[in-house]
Amino acid sequence: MAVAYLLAMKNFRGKEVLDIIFTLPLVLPPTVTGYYLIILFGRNGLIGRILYEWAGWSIMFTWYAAVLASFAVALPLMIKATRAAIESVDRNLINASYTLGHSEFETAIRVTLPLAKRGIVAGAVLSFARAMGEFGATLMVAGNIPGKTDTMPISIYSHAGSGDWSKANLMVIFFSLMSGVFLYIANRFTKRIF
Amino acid sequence: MGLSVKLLKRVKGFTLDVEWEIGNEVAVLFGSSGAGKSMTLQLIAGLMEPDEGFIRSNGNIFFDKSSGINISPQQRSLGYVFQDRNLFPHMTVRENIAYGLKRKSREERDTRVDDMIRQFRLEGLENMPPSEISGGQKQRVALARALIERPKALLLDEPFTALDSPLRFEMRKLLQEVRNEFDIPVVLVTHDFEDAYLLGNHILVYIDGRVEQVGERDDIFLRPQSIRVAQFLGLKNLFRAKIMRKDEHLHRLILEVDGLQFSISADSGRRPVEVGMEVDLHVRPDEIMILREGKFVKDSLKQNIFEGEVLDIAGKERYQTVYFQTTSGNILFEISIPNYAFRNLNLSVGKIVSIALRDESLWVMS
Repeated sequence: MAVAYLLAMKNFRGKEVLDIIFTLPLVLPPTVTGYYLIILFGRNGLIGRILYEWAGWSIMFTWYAAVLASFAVALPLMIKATRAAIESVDRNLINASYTLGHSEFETAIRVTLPLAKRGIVAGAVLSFARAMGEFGATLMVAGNIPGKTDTMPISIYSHAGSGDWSKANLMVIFFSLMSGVFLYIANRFTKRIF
Repeated sequence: MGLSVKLLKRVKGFTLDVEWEIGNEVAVLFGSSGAGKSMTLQLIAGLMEPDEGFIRSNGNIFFDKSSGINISPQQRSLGYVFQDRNLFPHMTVRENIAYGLKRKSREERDTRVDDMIRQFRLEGLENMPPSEISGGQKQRVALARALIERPKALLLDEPFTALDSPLRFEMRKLLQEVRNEFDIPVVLVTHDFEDAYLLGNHILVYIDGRVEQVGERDDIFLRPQSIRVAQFLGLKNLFRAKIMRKDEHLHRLILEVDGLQFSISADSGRRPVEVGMEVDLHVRPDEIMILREGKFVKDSLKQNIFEGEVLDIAGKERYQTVYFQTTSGNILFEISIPNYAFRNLNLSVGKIVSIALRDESLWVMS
């Protein structure tokens, strides 16, 4: 949200570069995103090494890694939607709040974000749905450890691969229904704005 | 006293360069859109920063480039009301007004908000969202919200443009009340002639990022200082004229437009003029007389009598516009005649008549 607010309200050098970095996971193949995550969080990665030396623990192949991967691929959707929602708030209203003596932070809390709420919620629902369906990057960083790091899409892949059709069918139907509901909710929220 | 600004701001393809001072009065920034009026308000409010200059109001310095002072918009405590889309749509009328208050105890908040609701005649609307009240009510809420903290000045950007005329009349009255009660400078931006005329004892004409003329309404509408102001006001009968000679004895000047000579009082203009100068001549359409045949003509009118043909007649609701072309020189005049006078003249297209120009009808700009 902070990143989106920055992108929507401020002009600074490297703004577009920042926007591109945060949007990249949307268009990159999930395996590439996963690869970047390994570089960053792997035991010899930039952040992973520090973490390992401090805590003697690596995030790789734990369910935290699955969460991290889902987060990384869903983030661009969230930021895009939030940025668009904040930018769609009437600048006059924000200026009115400033001239009435309210600070930028207070204005963000009481005016800008409440008015952008619908777009932000829609973005959140969409990115949650996207995170649920994450497959490639998760497989790269969390692996496929049954009962531990096998997310639903991954276990569908495993069941289908091993010929366990009845389980796969059940999961696919459940998953499709759930995603449909999420899209419906997201549409309900965006319709009123645009 | 009042508000005093000197502003220079360059943005892509436009330069605003103005300097003016007003008292605790309603001053009208009057100009076409894109002349820099709204930008002036944004600079005063602190929503934009001038490249050079200063902004001072009743002893407070809001901005001064030379000493590096730039007070934030939050701390300038100015009331700012926009054309429309002023109110926070997610708050009720009451919450909108209360949003203008700084931190206060609950009781004090409530009494202050109640006072404003009463003063701006918003009783009964307190709990409505802005989307359910009328345009005039919205502007009253916006004014109440802007004024609740007793701001040091009030800035109004086309505040009545979205309203229809009976409401505008009401809002103008309200604005006078506000000015009288709060005793602060009120800067109102408008491109509307009627608003400017009725509100402006003090009008600043903005043209292309500059203040072209400052004055009372009659100074502006009857005695424009330059051809630029005259054109902005949409004045008819503007001619380029040359001053041919001066009659010192009668205190008159002889001007020539396309071979046709006019005699004007040497005082009819703002600046002194010399023989040989090129000037702009404005002939006021409502001060031109069409002469009835065989009617006695006063001596004072005899100097500017021209014969010509009625080319066309167009009726408006309150007066008739006659298009008239002089026989010599082929100069085209637009003449406005009240309906009762028009009926007595028996005019028709193609008729040859004479017109007389009173001294009051002639205005020279140089």
